[in-house]
Parts: sequence; C-alpha cells; structure tokens
Amino acid sequence: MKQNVARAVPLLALGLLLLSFPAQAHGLNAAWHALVSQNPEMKAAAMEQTPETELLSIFPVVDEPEAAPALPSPQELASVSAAGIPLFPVVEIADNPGDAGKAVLIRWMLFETSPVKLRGKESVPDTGTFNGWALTKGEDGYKAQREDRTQWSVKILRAQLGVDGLPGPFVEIEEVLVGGAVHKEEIRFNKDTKNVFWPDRNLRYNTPGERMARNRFWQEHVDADVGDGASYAYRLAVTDGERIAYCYRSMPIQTGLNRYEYKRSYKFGPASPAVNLIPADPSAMSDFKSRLMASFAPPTEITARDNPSDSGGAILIEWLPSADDLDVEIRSAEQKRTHPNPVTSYRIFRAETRNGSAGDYILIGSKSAGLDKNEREAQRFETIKKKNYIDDGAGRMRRDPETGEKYVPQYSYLVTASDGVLLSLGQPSTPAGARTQWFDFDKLYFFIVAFIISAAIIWFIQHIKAGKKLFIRKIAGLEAVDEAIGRATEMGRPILFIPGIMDMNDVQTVSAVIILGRIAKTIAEYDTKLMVPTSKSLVMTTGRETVKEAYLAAGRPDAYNDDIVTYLTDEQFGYVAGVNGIMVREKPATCLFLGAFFAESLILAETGNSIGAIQIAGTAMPSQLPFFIAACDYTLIGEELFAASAYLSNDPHQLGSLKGQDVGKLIAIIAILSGAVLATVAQLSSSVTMQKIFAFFENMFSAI
Amino acid sequence: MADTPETTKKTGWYQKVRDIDRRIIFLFIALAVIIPLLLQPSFPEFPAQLVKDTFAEMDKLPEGSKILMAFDYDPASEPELQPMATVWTRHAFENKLKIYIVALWPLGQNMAEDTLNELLKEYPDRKYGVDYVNLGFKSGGQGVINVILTDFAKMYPTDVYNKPLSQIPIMKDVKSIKDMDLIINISAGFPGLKEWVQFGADPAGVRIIGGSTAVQAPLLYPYIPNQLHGLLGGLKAAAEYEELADRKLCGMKCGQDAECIDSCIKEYAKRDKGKVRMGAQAIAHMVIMAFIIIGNITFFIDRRRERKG
Amino acid sequence: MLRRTLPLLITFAVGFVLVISKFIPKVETLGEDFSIYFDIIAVFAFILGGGNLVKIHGNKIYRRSEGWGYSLVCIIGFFATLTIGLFKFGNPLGWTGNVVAEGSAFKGIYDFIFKPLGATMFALLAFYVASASYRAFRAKNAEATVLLIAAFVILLGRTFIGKMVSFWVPIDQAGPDIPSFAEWIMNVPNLAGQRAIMIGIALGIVSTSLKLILGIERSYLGADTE
Repeated sequence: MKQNVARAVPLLALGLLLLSFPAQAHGLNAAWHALVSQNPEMKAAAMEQTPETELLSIFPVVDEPEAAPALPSPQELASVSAAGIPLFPVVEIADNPGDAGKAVLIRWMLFETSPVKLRGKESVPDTGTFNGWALTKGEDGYKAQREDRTQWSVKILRAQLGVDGLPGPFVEIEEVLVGGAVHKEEIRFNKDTKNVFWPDRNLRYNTPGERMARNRFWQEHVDADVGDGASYAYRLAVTDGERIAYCYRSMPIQTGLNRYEYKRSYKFGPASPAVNLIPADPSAMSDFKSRLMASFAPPTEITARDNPSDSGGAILIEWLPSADDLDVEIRSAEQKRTHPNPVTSYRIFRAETRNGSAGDYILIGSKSAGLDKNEREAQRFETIKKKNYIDDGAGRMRRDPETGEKYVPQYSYLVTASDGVLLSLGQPSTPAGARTQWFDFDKLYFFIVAFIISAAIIWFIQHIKAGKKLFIRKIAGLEAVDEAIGRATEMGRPILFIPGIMDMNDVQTVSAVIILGRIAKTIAEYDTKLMVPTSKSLVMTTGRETVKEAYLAAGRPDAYNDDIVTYLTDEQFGYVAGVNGIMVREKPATCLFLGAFFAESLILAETGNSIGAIQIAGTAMPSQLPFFIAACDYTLIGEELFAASAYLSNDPHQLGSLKGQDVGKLIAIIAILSGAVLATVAQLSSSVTMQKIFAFFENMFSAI
Repeated sequence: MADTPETTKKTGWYQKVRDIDRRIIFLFIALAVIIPLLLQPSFPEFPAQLVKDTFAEMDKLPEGSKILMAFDYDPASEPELQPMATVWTRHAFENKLKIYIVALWPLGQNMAEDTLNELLKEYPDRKYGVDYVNLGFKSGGQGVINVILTDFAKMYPTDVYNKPLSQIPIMKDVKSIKDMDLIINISAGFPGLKEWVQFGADPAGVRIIGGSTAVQAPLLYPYIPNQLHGLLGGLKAAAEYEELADRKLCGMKCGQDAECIDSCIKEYAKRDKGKVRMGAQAIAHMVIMAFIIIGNITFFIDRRRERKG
Repeated sequence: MLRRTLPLLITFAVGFVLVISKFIPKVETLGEDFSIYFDIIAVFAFILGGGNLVKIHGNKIYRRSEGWGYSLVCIIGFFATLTIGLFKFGNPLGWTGNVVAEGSAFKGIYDFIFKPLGATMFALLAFYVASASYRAFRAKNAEATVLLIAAFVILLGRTFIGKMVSFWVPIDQAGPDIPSFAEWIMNVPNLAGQRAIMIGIALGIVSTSLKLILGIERSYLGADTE
C-alpha cells in the first residue's frame, strides 16, 4: 500500500502541473497584453522595432489614394512605420478561370510582418515585445505570443492601364472584412539562427461569416466589372479603420497559362481578363467574336490524332502557324525589336464531343509563337513546318452512366493565335480520341538491337557443344584467385571478401555474390578462414545462403558458421571504417574487392596495401577503376567482373555467353564506325540525302 | 604487393628517400592542406568556358523564375560540393529567383537546410513559402523523378514542415517539374545528375545544370550540351563559378573602377569556400607532384644501378 | 525442389515484366512498382542486419573478447541513436516534428558526430591519393610514361598553377594552355576509354541478367549441382 501511494503521489503532482500550464499560459498572455497596450513606453518600444519590409508600405490615412504614387523613400517608410500595422498582404492577381474573358480574380493571403528580422540582432531582450508580440526566451529559442482582437479589412483598388502601360488613378472597388475574432498565435524561433521554425511565419486571417475561399487561407474576390480587353492594375490595402497599409508588389501574374506574357517590369502586376473558354452556343460565340477577335490570320489545318506509342490519355494536335506569325523564320534580335511579332502565342482549346455536337471549348494550354528548338529540329527537312501540342489530359476509356456502354471520349480542338488579349480563331479539328498502343514503336530499333544481342547470347549458351574448347583470353585477376587463396592458407591468415556497397538489386552485387559462392567452395576445401562484411542486410542474407551451400558442396558443413558473413552498416563511410578496422586487426592475407564501389575504393585498397595483403579488385564503376588499378595487384575491369562467374565455373554453356557478348561488341563497333563516317560525310557534303540519312541514324535511339 | 620498408636497412639519405614511410607523405599532405586553409591565401581563378556557360545559363533567368534545386549529396562529399550549393543558392537569392528544394539522398535534405541557414544570414528578407520552399527527401531515386515529372503533389503532399503544398504560396502555379525554368542538381553519386538528366529534365523539356565530384564529371560529358546545359565538375569549377559571381556582384557595386572591383573580389574571396579550398588543393597537388618526381628519380637510379651491377 | 524452383520462377516473372515494361506502354508503371516492392522488402531486411550487428558485438562484450570496448561503443551508439531518433528527444514539436528538426537531439548527433566522422573518412582519400600516386606513377615502360605525363598535366591543369606556367598563352586569354590540355585529356582519350568500358559493362550486364532471368545462373541460390 505504501509503495502504491509512493508511486501515485509523484504522478498526481505531475498531472496537476500539466493541467495548470494552459491556465498559466492564458493568464500570462492576458497579463502581458494588458501590460503592453497600457504601457506607453513598451508600446513605443514595440513600434520602433517594426521591421521594414519590401511588401509593406505605410501611409497616413488618405481620403482618396493618389494616382500612381511613387515608391516611398526609406525615410518615409521609417517615419510611418510607427503606424505599426503587423500585417501585409501577399497578392495574386490572375485572369478568372473558366470564363469568356470577363473577370479578374484577386487572391490574397495576409501575412504577419516577418519577425525574421530578429536574425543577427543579438540585442533582443529576454522578455519584451517585438512588433506587438510578447517575447520570452526559452531553452530552445524565443517564443512569441500575441492576441489580436482588431477588426481588419482589406480594400481592393483598381486602375486601368493606359496605352503607355502606366496605371491611371486607383479607385476603390471593394472592401472585404477579415479577422475580427480573437486571434492567438504562437511562434518559435531558433536561438542561433533566429529562423522561425514553428509553426511558420504565415498567419491566416479568415473572413467572418460564410464567405470562404477555396482554400481557407487564401481569400479572393472576383472583379467582374472588366472585360473590355484592357489591362488593369490592382493594389490591396489592410486597414483597421484608423491605420492603413498598401501593398506594392504582388506575385507574378498568370494571364491564362502563358507566363511569358507577364511584363515583369510592373510592380503592380497588371492583369488582363484572358479567355479560358470559347462558348459553343452560337449567340454567345457571336458576342465573343465581336469583342475579342483579332485582325491577324488564324492558324490553319488544325488536326488532332491519338498520340502514338503511349499508354493512352494523350492526343497530338498539329497546326500550321498563322501567316502573320513572323517568328516562324529565324529572326535576329534587331529584327524582333523593329518588327515585333503581332502573334505572341497560340492557345489551345478543347471541347468534348458527343453524338456529333461539341460543348464549350475550354483552354487547356498554350505554346509560344514561332517554332521552338525541337519543332525546328524535327522538321529540318520539311518545307512546310507545323507546330504541335500534346494534350495529356485526354480521358481514357470510360463507361456511359446511362447506357452502360464503354466508349473512348472524343475531343475537338480549336487553336487560336493570340497577342495576349485578342484571339484569331482557326477552324476546329475533327474529333479524336486517345488510345493505348500495345507497343512503343519509338523504341523499335532499340528492341531490335536488344533482341539480336539477347538471341545471340542465348544461342551460344545453348549451342556450344560440350567438350568444345572456346578461346577465352586469360584474365590475370581470375587466374590469381587460386594463388591468392593458397597464399592465405599457407600464411594462416584469413581471406577478406567485400561484395561492394550496393544492394542485391544491382547486377554487380549479384555477380559478386555468385563469385563468392564459387570461391567459398575452394576456401572451404582449403579450410581457410573467410570474412565477408556486408553493407546491406539483403546482401548479408543472400551471402550467407550462398556460402553455406558452398561449404556444403565442399563437404565441410561443420566449418560453416553464420559469422562468416556479417552486417556492418548501410552508411558508406561507416562501412569503410569498419572494414578498415577488420583489415588492420585481422590482417587478412588476401583481399577481394568485387562489386560496386564508390569513393571508398581507394581507402580500402590502400589499407589493404599497407597490411601487405594480395588484392584482387573488380568493379563496373568506371570512375573507381583507376584507383583499383593503381593500388591493387590485379583488377577486373568492367565486363571481366561479369565474366568471372563463367570463367571460374569453366562450364562451356556459361562460357558461351561470353561469345554471345562478342556479337554485341561487333554491333557496337559497326554502329560507331558507321556513325562516325555518316556524321563526317553529312557535315562535309551538302547532300540533303546524306543529311537525312544521318539524322535518321542519329534519332534511331533517341526515344530511350 | 606491399612495399613496406621493414626489412630494408636505412643507411643514408638515399635509402630513406627511396623507402620513404607513407606516414611522411601523409604528414606533408596534411601540412599542404592545413596551412593554406589557415592562412587563406587568395589565388586567381580563370573560369573555363564550361563554367562560363553554366553561369550564363543561371544568370539569364529573369526575376521570379522558378528553379528546382536537388541536393543529392551527403556530408562526406560536402568539402567538394558544398561550395557549389552555396554559390548557386546565393546566385538564386541575389537574382530573386524562386527556389524549390528536393533531395533524393536522405542527408541531402540536411545539406539543403544548412545551405539555406547560411545564406539566409546574407539575405534575411527571403521568406519561406514565398521565395523558397524545402520539399525534403523522398526515397526511390529515379522513381521520385518519374512521379514529380507529372505531379509534385503525388510525391510531396507536404513540405518538410508538414505543411500541405496548397497552403504554400510559391507552389501555387507549380504542378510538376515541367513548370520549372531550370533544374540544378548537386550530386555525389547515385541517384544523381545522370538520373535527373535522363528521367527529369530531358522528358520534361526543362533545362538543367549540375555539379558533381571531379571523378564523376567525365561520365557526364556525353550529355553536354544537348541534354546537360552546364556542369561544374569538382572543386575547381566551383571556385571558378564563385569568381564569376564575385566579378558580377563587384561589377554592380563598383561600376568601372578596377581597383574597387579587385578589392571587392578579394573581400568576397574570404567567404567563398571553393576559392579557399582551392588554395589547399593547389599546394597539395604540388606536393603530390614533388613526391612523384622523387619516386621516379629513385626508380631510375635503382634501374641504372641494376643495369650496371 | 520448391526452395529452388519458386525463387527461379519469381526471378523469371519479375525480370520478364521489367524488360517488357520498357516496350509495352500498358505495363510501363509495373516496372516502377516492382522497384518500389524491392525497397519495401529491403526495409524488412534491416531488422536482420541490425539484429546481426547487436548479436556479434553483444557476444564480444559478453565474452570480453579482444577489443570488446569498441563493441560496447558500437552498441551504445546504435541504441542511443535509435532511441533518440524514434522518440525524438529534444524535438521542438515533439513526436509530430521532423526527426532532424532544428534543436532536436538527433540533429545534434548528425551535426556534431555523424557529419564530422563522415567528412573525416572522406578526407582520408587525400592522403591515400598521395601515397598511391607515389607508388603507382613510375615510368617503368612507355605506357606508364604516358600515364605519368597525363597525370602531371591533370595535376597542374586542375589548379591555377597550370594557367600560370603556360607562358605561351597570355594569362588573360583562352588558348592551348595546360588547363585546356587537361580538359582535352579528360574529354577525349579518357572519355573514349570510359565509354568503351561502359559498352563492355552494358553487354556484361545484359548477359548476366539473361542468365539470371532464364535460370542458367543459379549459384546465388546455393550449389548449382543437383
């Protein structure tokens, strides 16, 4: 009983302490807030520490915002920073999606003025305020808490851009209430870097009532009072009724989908209500055309077909560029400056067609005017060059919910030439649907070559007659294996085998384990100690099985124990340190490094050299071969590692695979020589035929 | 076979030089590296054309461009690759580019954090979520690249601070790596630059530049210039890039004043890790060459003696 | 029989799917899925590896074998790191935080133990390159002499010294100086050799993979004699 009480008391005390934290925090918070708001000195101190920020500009309240104000000077910023508004908006202005060009969408997120200005400021007091936040210094850094009961609102102002690109007077078009409820936030700073690490630096102020943005942290307003093809600039202001702060910069504008139309010189970020939808309804289309039709020529010969050699879901659209698109031919910078291209982009619209009738055309993508590098390269020899676009959002086979029939959705495409605002409509394409191909014909030549090489290897494996002597050149490293094992046996020292540092999904490791199996049999017969430290657990498991079977095959199951193959660590240099330690302590007479290695290759080889071991290395990592060659006695270079298992087995069928590889080498040699000759002839001659042949040869394997 | 000098009688300076203990070599190398690192002498750098092309590729991006930076290395390769990571991040912050950070190596995420922490001291007004975002590490190597080729959110539903991508302003109009203006990869091995070129940049049609260890660089030359548009191979290339960056910054600061530019470059050289470490590399190379020459001299003397005797 | 047949069947099936997924669009994603399955299986194998590590070092400590103190350090490090990472000690966000969050103990281990140790091991390469170069670069014959000259050019060309000793090209101009020659060596003969080796490696991989998929090479499953 006494023991139970003795145990319960501390637990009870702990529980009470934990429960008291929220109450304490709340009490402290309230007390602190009261202290700050009522203490003029502390309030002034808080104001002075308001950080300057690019996005925040504070003016005294004005009845009407001046037209196109200049940026405030640093002195102005400093003098008005006493207003101490802690919020700034990050604004995004974009075309309103899914309409026929009649609205602009304004979205914003209200951010706390970043407290990251604490960075580098060593003079932050242990307690105090920073921009209205109550600061306390804790073990892990600073904590800042704040309670905000202010009713904030966001004013949206709009100005139309003139022909000179400068905005006219800004007029307030909307005021949106935000915040208004008690808002508590706690943020924490790292004590060394002063970075905020929890939760993050963004505060979210929600609009009251049922007006919610799509995302609860973004708020938005649709300005539908535009639509005449002009461009507009917007500013947002945050106010509590007494103080007001304007934003001067918004995030890059997204007019439709072509980000290159955004003129980055505008800090205000002009927006044009872009067309995302072309109505199918004839009367709506007529209204659309009257407002937004351009005078330059439309694209022609718009065709749509299933994108070949894919798993479905993509349609290839091709068209002839507009006759007024000047960038179809390559032009110099001077020409582009003096004769700007009236066409800046092509916008692609898609409508699903059912039973012969198409719905509204929805914008799915855009491409820049002129021909891009790939289009120009692919149609190098064509007289008429087309532009293309791949719609990878096409639907796959689906089931009609009413009839239950399966069908592939058909789409009609409309490509328009655009100058950023106005459009020139081409004729819609005939409907096309996306289908799955059963074979990727872009990889046909790759398949043929791979088939030939594989067939040759398999043929030689199967058809080498037993007893027939194949000429296989001597590989010094493999010839020396027996000698190396014998040396270790004579000296009474162990053999160290390192199967690389990659896992069993690497062919080099598999080859290394196969070689380990063959060598382990010989080692078991000689009764020499074997050590195989591994870097991957799967390699350890496989290695154990292999070595166990090898010892069994050698008739020495008693000599096997699981500690022959051990696991050290996955970490590259931890593994190397471990292996080096084993080498220096156990002093193996023979070190075998076979498999995939990276930077640790030289460390292993040099350590082996320092203990006087005979070293045989083999890897298919070309970057590590020089280190092994410099530091080891024998090195298996690249394919010799893969040939080793056939070599050591002396099985004629396995050796036949080496002959099959020679067929592959022959193909490679012929291809290299042909390519070099063709490239030279195509370069030197002006024959279009030769250039076409070379281009064909060059692109044979481009799809891999 | 080992050439340990245990049994050889060291009877004179020639024997001592011929059978030099490797620990003496280690000592000289240690001094050759430590002294320049402590004294930090500044040596001139002459940027190669490939480095200039890489610099131009980055510098031509307009303000607000999106760059994907993949940190695929670990602390072991930090000495060689960190200068590249630092100078590229600084270049991005200086030019007000938007940085999207990913990592295919587990410790790459930490290397990215360390880089950012260092650079944010120089650019404290760069805001997380607005100017840069760290999406962190995902395992799977090229599998990760295959997925983010079409959709970031499928592989990275949140950033490294568990914040959903939809709540991060910088991710607003970014769906996949096809929306990037440039990919930068700093890689020490596998998965690395080769995988980013083959499975990321080339299929997406996005330009890519990268940094690798000097040992790996030759394997990447076949991809230049069509698929890989810039490469910094090793510490020297990183130092040359720092030189170009410093020249640009000092040019902006000092205009045409050559003296001002020189002193500005010398001032910046102290913070440029690549340049500082290149001093050590240069001296170390000279020490290695000296030992090679000594080894060959003793080799030829021995061979002559054998032929005579 | 099943012990050998089943793995062979699995190898054949997975290998076949991985090959055809390259050519048949419909099964393209299967190849990626199988790669992910391997990662999942490898994770389970971690337990075996960790268990083996603890067992070996535990035995050494128990028996007070030579060097058992280092085994103790290994075991303590293993469990300490595991515990600190699992329970996220010192993490400002507690269990929900990122395991390497700023201020956490795990980050401390990474910053103050792991990083310096990894860098130290990597730094050994500098010393070993010097000793290996001293031993390997001897002009024993013509090929070794060519190798020696190439090594000198690269060593010079990779530093500012190469530019400074190239007196035949003005220092502020591009031209056939030692750094350019070093670049040429890396880009032309070195790359040609590497590409040839890579072609051989690729063919070796094809051959080995075919033998594994078709079950011709079975020794990784155990003895290949029935």
